Parts: sequence; C-alpha cells; structure tokens
Amino acid sequence: MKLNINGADVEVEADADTPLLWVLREQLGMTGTKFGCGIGQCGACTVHLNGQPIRSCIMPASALVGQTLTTIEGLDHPVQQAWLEEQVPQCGYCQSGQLMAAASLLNNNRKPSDEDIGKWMTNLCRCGTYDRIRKGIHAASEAMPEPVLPMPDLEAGPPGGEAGPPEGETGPPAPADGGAE
Amino acid sequence: MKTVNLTRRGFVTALGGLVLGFNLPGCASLLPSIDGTIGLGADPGELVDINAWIRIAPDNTVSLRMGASEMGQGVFTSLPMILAEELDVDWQQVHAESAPAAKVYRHANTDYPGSSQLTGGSASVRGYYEQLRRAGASARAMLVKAAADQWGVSPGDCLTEAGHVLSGEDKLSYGQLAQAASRLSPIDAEPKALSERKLLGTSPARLDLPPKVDGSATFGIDVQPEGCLNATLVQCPHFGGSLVSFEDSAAREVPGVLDVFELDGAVIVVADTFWHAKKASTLLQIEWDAGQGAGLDDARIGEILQEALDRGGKTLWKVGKVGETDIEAIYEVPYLEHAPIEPLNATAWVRPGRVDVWAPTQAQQTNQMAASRIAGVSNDDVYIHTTFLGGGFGRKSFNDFVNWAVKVAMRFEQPVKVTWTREECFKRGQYRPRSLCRMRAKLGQDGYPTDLSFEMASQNVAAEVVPPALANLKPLIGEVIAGGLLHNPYAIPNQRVDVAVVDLPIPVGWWRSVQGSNNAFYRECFLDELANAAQVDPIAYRRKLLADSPRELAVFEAAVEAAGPLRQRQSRGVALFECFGSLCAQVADVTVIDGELIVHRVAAAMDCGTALHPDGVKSQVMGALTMGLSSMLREGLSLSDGAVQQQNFHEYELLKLAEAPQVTVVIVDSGEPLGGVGEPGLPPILGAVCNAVAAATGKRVRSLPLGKQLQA
Repeated sequence: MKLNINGADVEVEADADTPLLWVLREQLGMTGTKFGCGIGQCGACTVHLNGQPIRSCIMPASALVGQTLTTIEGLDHPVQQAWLEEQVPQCGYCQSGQLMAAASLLNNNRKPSDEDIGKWMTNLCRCGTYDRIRKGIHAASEAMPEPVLPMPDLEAGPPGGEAGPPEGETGPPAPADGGAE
Repeated sequence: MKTVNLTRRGFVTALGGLVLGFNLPGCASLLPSIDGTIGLGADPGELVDINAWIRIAPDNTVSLRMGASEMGQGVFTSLPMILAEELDVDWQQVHAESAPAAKVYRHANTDYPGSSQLTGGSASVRGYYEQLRRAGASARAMLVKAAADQWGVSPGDCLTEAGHVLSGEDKLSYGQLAQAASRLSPIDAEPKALSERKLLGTSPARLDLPPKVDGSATFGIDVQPEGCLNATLVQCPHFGGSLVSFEDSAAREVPGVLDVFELDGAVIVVADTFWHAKKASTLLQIEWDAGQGAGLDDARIGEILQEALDRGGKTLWKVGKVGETDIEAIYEVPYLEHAPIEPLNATAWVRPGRVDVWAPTQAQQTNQMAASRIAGVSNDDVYIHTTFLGGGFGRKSFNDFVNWAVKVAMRFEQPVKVTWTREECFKRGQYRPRSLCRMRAKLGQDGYPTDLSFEMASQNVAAEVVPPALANLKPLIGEVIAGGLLHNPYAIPNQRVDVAVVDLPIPVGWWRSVQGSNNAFYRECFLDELANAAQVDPIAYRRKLLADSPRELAVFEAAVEAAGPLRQRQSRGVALFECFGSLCAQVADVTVIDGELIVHRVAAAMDCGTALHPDGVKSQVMGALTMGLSSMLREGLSLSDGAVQQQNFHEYELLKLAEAPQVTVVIVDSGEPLGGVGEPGLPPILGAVCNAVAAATGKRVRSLPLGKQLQA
C-alpha cells in the first residue's frame, strides 16, 4: 500500500489490520511515535491525519491510503520551540504525542483558553508535566503570527477535512472501542 | 504442557532466509554506540579520555559520561553541570552520554554504606557530587599542566576560561590539549570554593530536551540492532500461581511468528515484529493454576493486614512513653502501579563470551550481575547500554525485564528485543504496597498533642532486593516502611512507631517517594484531625508544633507565603514532609462541587539544601506532586485469586491535563547538605489535598483513592 507521510509517498507492505503505529515504527524506522497502551488511551502514538490528531495504535494503516499523515519527525511548529523555552519535557516519552496534540490544537484554535487546552489535551504524562504543557501552549500561541484568514471554526472540524472529528467534537477522537479489549 | 525446545542452531536453520541479512561477529559498528543511543555525544572516534568521566574532542566538544540514568529527572543536565563547573567550560561545549556499567561509575550511597550504580532514592546529585567535583578539578589541572609544559611556564601562571587555558598572550583550547593531558598521571586538585562558582545555581537549558521535541531521542523501545528479533511474553497472572498448559496453534498462524515456547513459567512469542508477536500473544489459550494466589482477593488482603495490625508489630522508635489516648483513626492506601508510559522492554544479544544489553534501566550494576549469572559469562563480559528511560519511578530498577531479554536471547544467535504489552506491565508489577496505619493521640489542655502513636501493617518493599537476613532489620524498615513517622518534626513529648511486616505473594517495590507515598497521607491528615479536634487552624497548629524545628518551619512558612490569600469559595489544605534528605511543604486550594474535586492551585516550597539547577528542582517538584495527585484521585489495584484486575489505562486512570493544578514552586536555600530532588515533592500533596477536601466538605478521607467518596 502507498501512504503519504510527512509529504512523501512511501510504499509499505503490511497486513490489513496492522496499526499505523507499527508500520511507522517497525517498517519505516520512524520511532518518534511511541507505543504506550495499544488501546488508544494514553496518546503517546498521536499523529496527524489530514491535520487532525489520531491515536495511531488503533488505526489500521490500510485505512489511510490516499490521506495525508504527519508524524513528529515531520512536525515543524512553533510549539516545539515553546517546549524548549518552557523546558516542558521530563522523560520525554509522551512528548511526541503531546506536541502533535498541541500543534493541532493551535492550528484549530490560535488562542486557546485553559479550558480549551484541558478539553483537547487528553494525552497522559506520568512525569506530571501538565502545568508546563499548558504554559508551553500559551507561549506558542503568543509566538504564532496572527492568522491572515479567518480562524477555522473548531466545532466544524478542519477545513476540507472529511476525515476530521465528527460535528460537535471538541477534543481528539476517543478510542473507538471505549478502551475495552 | 507443550514446549518447543529448539536449540539456537536448530532455530536458525528453521528460520531460513530471515537471518541471511544478519552480519555475524565483528559487526559492532552496526549497533547504536553508547553515544548514538543517547544522541548527545560528538563523534566518538575523535574523543580523548581525560579520565573516566571526561572525554574531549579536537573541536573542543566536552563529552561527559553519566553513571546515572536519565529518566526525566534531569541528571543529564545537573551532573554535567558539576563537572563543567570544575572544568571551566562553556555550557554550549558540553554533551552528556551514558556510562557503561562499571565500578568506577558507582555513586556513594546516601543512606547506607558502600556505593552503587543505581538511579534511585533521589540519590544521583548528592551521591555523585564529590566524585564529579574532584574528577572535574583533576581534569582541569591536567589540561593546565599540559599547556604549562608546552609553554614552559608554571601551572600557577595559567588560567582557565570557557574551555581554554591562558597564560599571558598564549591560549590553547582543551581540544588542542586533550591528547597531551591524557598522557599525564592523574592530578589530585581541590575543587572550587562556593564563591567561585559560575554555573551551579543557574538553570541552563537541559541537554536532553532538543531530541525530545523532534522525536529523535532514543528510548529502550526504539533500539533495533540489525537483524533483531522481537518478542513478547505472557506471565502467570496469579501471584504464587503457575503455568499448566497452553495451546498455540492460532498464534503460530500469525504471519511473522517464528516461535512460541515456554520459558520459566511464561509463554514467549518470538516474531519478526513486535506487532506480530503481540497479536499472536492474544491468540494463545493458556491454562494457569492460581496456586498460592487462590482466594487472595481484596477482602482477604484487608483481613491479613488488619490481623497483623491487631497482633502488633516491632517498635521501631519511641520518645517518652505513650499513655492513654482518646483520638484514634485507621488510614489505608492501595497497591499502586508505577505505569511509566514507556512499557518495560530490553534488547539483548548473547554471543559466546559476550552479552550486550540495551535497556531503559535504573540499575546497571545489578542488571550486569544478573545477566552474567544467567548467561554464564563474567561480569566484565556483560555490556549494559543505557538508553533514555520513558519514565522509571522505581519500576525500572528491578531486573526482571532485563533478565527476560537475556534469557530469551540466549536461545538465538541474533539480538532479541523483549517488549511487554501494557497489560503485562499491569499484571506483573512491583507495586507500591497496600498498607494500614492506626494512629492514636491524646491532646493536652491546650489542645496540642501530648501522646501520638503510629502502628503500621505493610509488606516490606525491600524484601525482594535485600538479603533476607537484612530485610527486616529495624533501621531498614524504619526507612522504607515507616520513614517520616520516626523523628517527626512536630514537638510531641510522647511518641511511638510500631510496624508489623506482612508477608504476601504480591510483588512490591519502590514507587516514587516509597514510604512518603503513604506516610505523608497518614501523618499529615491525622495531624489535621487533631487540629480540628482542638479547634485550631491547621496552619497555626503546625506553626506551634514546629516552633523548635526552624528548618521545617522555614519551608512551611515559605509555602504558605507562596500560596498567598485564599480565593473566595475555595478551601485550603497544607502538609509538610521530609524524605531523601529534603523538605517539602505544600498548600493546596480546592473546591468540591457536587462531589467533584477541583484542585485549582498548589504552592510548594522545597528545601533540598542547595539547588544546583533551580529550574530543574521546580520542574521535579511540579511533576512529583502532579503524579502524587494522580495517585490519590483514581489509582488503585484490586486483586482476585492473586491476580491484578486492572489491565490497562481504561481501568487504571491517570490524571489528565484538565485536572492538573497550576503549580508554584519556591526554593528555600538553607545551605544544608544536598538533599534529593526527584521524590520529595510527591508526598505532601496527599496530605494537602485531603486536608483541603476536609476543610471544604467536613468529610475526612481516610482511605485512598478518593474515587467517588465525595459523591455520597
């Protein structure tokens, strides 16, 4: 199958049920996206699908042919500089996912409130860096240029993003199976 | 029961083409080097060793070897700072890398004699401090001597600045001098006086963060030497139980699966990729015998703890004589899982006469000893390559996950990575023990306690790692079970601490802050109960009881000051706790609306003697108290037939950002000996939040987690 990752088309061979996470990590050697739980709960595996965050550990790669994928290796976003300025990460393991989630939040909502951040950022951090993650998002928000075009409406999903979150969804999609086996 | 007994040779034959691409011995260059693993070092080919810690490249890059593991606590910044300070180098020159397992990289133990290469006990900075100062001062003296010899001047006529030696008009970089310096005998030189310091006490940017914001940092789970096989394991879910039989035909049908076999009571699946191994592992049908675990559930464990409490334990400490008491309460905490987000994993390559291990480990020294025993090679033939750790919190100080990799890899010629599923991590943890604490007190006429006793029943977290003869010694139990209850700072004339050690087949271990993770809850909440009984404000109550403990009082006052005035309709709780040589006080401001707790703000004050990297200290206190808050809200393991019931994060809920408070941390620089930093920030939050909850609702929470207790 052919996937579009970080702007490049790549050909991969994978069983139809192989989650994107393992295609990235084990076939393409892109190990910045992490395995944490395998059930879409922790968010360490977050990548962008057409600009919106998804949990790649429960998303079969075969369902993503023809769509645009971005991983931490392809992310170039002010939030990364803000993370360094605020010295956000500790162990760093969850931070690829935190950064992907934070970047998508800011792309959807240039000036998020603490409440917006809390609703959107559902990734787990065991080191407890949440307060600095919040500061990092605000710092990146300050550093980002004002959008030239009107802000996309968060409630309506991403522009042109037929694969974006359903109407009325304000946070990243929850695990499809509610986290059960 | 079914086992597959393929010899290594037999297996390789069976594999056929898969191994063809694999290069045999002599291919060490294919492996991530120690520097490559961590991603911070310069080209290792150019580095010149000045001593065991310091290597310098011609371009003046200074690469520093760290005996401690970087697991988020910042030691790849704080430890290099100690060396860089003595060396007089620019921070921009400095790189950090992991040291191999070797005697020279052990640190002085902080709480008992001897030395060890173990990252735990909040011991890295205080344990390595003197060693690194001396190593840095010695290397600087050697570089100066090399320059002085070249110029024909006395070392006393030379200065050092930003990685250069200067004398009059002459100037040479350390990079230019490294070769000559490396040929000199080591020089014993005095470290700098406190007043000469430029770097320590400032907060340079952490060295490990750039690769952690672009995805390039290498954790254990990212290690993939060429030709590496991937395995996962399914261990017995019942503690004290065993494997009866398993059916693996469906598992073997999964593409990429190479072998399925029993090993030491677990079922191992080996495949080309972890995804295939994991998928196959879920198709195994396994029959287990619960063994000793049969009937061991939450209720039974509760009875066992209660019986132990009622029988009474050893008196570990007393002052005066505790007489009749009139206030009594029993508190309880549950088993907790460490839950680092990086699941347990290790990669091993066992060759004749040599074992290589790549692991996110806190315990290089014991990993090396264990691997040497398992593989039958000498200690020096085991090479431990430490990666970044995706969290440790104590769990990665145990040998089990490294041992499994070595045991599995012994059956193959190529390297094997053994990665645990999250479910496996929950199932076979080294949990913070469940415990009970009964406290009794008597108040004097003035409302302040005259008598206070603590009786605890708990498993011994040291039991698995300390020889049995030592495990139940009073000083050890006094620390790892009752630490913080003994010698408590409050002026109470009659006190006693008794501990009943309980033996259960449930594995327990060090969980961030160890004894503090329960004792701060016990002591600080009960103290508030006494203040409430006396109808005295808990802050004023502590002030009076701390009147003769100036260091504790100072840190307590600093936290109260940092908290500022209480907002309308919010409630406040305070707590203080000392562990690992540091004191931390916290003030939590909360509201409880319709049974829902919101922790708005936490102000913390930390006295770790001297903060070598103040921003790092603040970061650790923030993280630790956030992890502590997570533990008290919904975390707790339950057991049935000796098996943990929670399998993954949907059943063991960690705190998320939306619930994380705003944190303010102030540092109290007492100038006392260096204290630990990674753990002491955790315990006070347990007392502070529960005390705030009691202030808000009148409800005294005596067992954790809070769960739905506030909704009744």
